[in-house]
Amino acid sequence: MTRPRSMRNALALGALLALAAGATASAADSWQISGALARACQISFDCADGDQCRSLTLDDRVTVQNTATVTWQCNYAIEAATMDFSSENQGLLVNPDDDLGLPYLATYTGGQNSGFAGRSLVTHVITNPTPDTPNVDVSGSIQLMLQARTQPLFAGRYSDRITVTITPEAP
Amino acid sequence: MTEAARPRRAVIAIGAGLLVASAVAAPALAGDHKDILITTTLARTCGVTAPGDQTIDPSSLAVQPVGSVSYRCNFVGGATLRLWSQNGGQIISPASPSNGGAPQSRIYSTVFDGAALGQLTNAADTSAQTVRAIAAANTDQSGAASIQLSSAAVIAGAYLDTIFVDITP
Repeated sequence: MTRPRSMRNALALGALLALAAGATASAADSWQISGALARACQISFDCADGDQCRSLTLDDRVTVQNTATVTWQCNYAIEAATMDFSSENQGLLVNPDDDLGLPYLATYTGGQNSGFAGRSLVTHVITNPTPDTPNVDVSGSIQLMLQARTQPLFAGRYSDRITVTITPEAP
Repeated sequence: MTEAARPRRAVIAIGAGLLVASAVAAPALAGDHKDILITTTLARTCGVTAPGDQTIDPSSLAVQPVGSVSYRCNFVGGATLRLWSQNGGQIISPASPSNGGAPQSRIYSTVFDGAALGQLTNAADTSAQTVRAIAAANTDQSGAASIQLSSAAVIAGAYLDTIFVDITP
């Protein structure tokens, strides 16, 4: 059907007004929130005899003697960390009255690649533990085997301080 | 042409004849006017701008600001602002070998413009998007947003979520 021109114009205007009156608009946007929790590892030790770890039997030069239990964990898995074992006296038990000191070999029995066996701490011993599971403790003993020496020991207290440090490796 | 149309054409012809005769008889002084009503409607609209990406501390239980949402409507009246998030109000660190092979997530609650909105819902659940009624004022307006974790993340990794905001007149 063909409408007169005036009627067509009126219809077109009406449609335009209806469109304008009924239209609403909305807008949307978004933003990201994010944060990283850094890798971290923890270490602790437990000495059966309080803050000074288990006393050693100085005349026993063949038995591996337990000292402290060292426990570590990391807040991630699979990838490595670095454990550093060092001795204040470079692997010697020292008596202030004895210039020679008494050497020992150290062992750490911790699992997940954290352990080592029969090493002198004259220099740092480095291991690279790879935790199986985040935030799960791994424990091992620090064991010492005193070494023989030809000179007799001096009366007194022989001691050393072993420091264990664990550091996460960067991803 | 139909029979019915013929008489009308005859009348028009006579009228035209009269107009010509009167124009000749007197000067054309009479005026006339018509009013033409022109109307149009500007639709109600609102615009919203999210803040830029925000950094949070996934190990903190403190209230953490996450920027300010700016909006403007071209009218004075009520409008509806909706907030939801991609992860339904959780920051998530995707599964990876280094986090134990399982995604790590922490729920957070949201405060917008001083109103506690609780845990945001997921974008897919549009019926449950968090709604906030606002009073549009035909001027620039804004509302600060903050989040608070319900528990701290303890496994290393990158945690994130995307918050969506929508405003409707």
